[in-house]
Amino acid sequence: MEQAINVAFVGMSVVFIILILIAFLISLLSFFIKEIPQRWKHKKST
Amino acid sequence: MITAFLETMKGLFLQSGFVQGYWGQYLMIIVACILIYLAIVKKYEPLLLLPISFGMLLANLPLGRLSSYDEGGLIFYLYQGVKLGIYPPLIFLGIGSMTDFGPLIANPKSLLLGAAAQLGIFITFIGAVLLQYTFKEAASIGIIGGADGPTAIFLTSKLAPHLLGPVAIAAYSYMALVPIIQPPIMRLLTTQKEREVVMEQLRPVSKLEKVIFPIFVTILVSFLIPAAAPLVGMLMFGNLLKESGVVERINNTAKNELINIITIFLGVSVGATASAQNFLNPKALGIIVLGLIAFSVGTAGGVLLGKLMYWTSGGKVNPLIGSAGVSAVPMAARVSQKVGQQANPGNFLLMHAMGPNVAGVIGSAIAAGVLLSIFGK
Repeated sequence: MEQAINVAFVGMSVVFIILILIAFLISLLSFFIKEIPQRWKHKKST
Repeated sequence: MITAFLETMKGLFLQSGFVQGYWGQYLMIIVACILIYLAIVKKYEPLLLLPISFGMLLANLPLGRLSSYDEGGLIFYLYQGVKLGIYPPLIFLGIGSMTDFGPLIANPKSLLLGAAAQLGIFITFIGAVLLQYTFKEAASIGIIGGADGPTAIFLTSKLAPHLLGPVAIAAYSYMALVPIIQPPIMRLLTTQKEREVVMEQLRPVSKLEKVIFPIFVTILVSFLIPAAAPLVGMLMFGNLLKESGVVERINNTAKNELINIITIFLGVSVGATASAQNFLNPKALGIIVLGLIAFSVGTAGGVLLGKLMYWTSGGKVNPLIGSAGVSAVPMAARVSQKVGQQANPGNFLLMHAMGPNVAGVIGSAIAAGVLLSIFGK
């Protein structure tokens, strides 16, 4: 029983960690995709 | 001559299904007919429920030898695609080619709701172990809570193939019954005020983001959980076909002909595993009950995290979108929309619920990968 609880806890934690990681990296990726072209344009115009 | 005629008729009658069948088969035929009714008249996920219920009907025809376990028949050969884990990744390919991950990319926080809704998998896993199922069986039963038929079939075919029939039937039946199972749980766990929340419109997502997303998720998830690669990889491949915009023909095939053909094969052969002798036993019936618990707990997990997000965001998140974190795309998102609109007719939650909904697909595939890497050795 204890092993089952451990597996459930580990499993749920891993699912959360991976999805949080994906969410974080998507946000980062979106930020760069939006920001870099804008900064590039700004740099060119100045 | 009349005696010979009567003898022949008597012989025919004695060899007919009416005499050779037993109560279990008749009961399963009645169940199949009820499911056919729900599919046709009530339109509960008819694309899935109709093939499954007709497969169930075929498998229980006395002397028909049409179950998935009757060697040599058509359905036996169709069933090999289920048994060998071929159909689930192909279904995921089709789902990927139909799915718009835009709402998820626009609101990455919705991935958390997709994670929370996997709670049902792990709580039910513990419950099944308590009821004396083995760990592998318990993992296969728990995955029903992911509300993702292909994932449930994929995992069960690897861990507990002898339970494939009941697990697949439970997973698909409950997916079909999402509009009945979820709303009472959603209403129970939320207040009227919470259900009325109108969410801000999502930002537009660029094509570049949509193209990078499937490549990025495939690499990340497959490196972290290699066991999830067949499902996540095919899901993301299908999505890349869609988003790249350069392979319209292949994309059209994946989202139309391919997924339709596989759905027919999968539905009929999964339904045909539910013969009376395989289905009407305590272990199989226990799976049906545990599957419902898994589904309900998953829904509750998503809604409860939605409530937490409602409080932490100062009332900007409608908790109803949390229930869509169980996969069942797009039915669960439609349920969020419907319940939200009942509370506030001006509420349009569909696109907001699609984020957690597609996150649930990724989440349940990861949960299956985790369970497979723990118990698949």
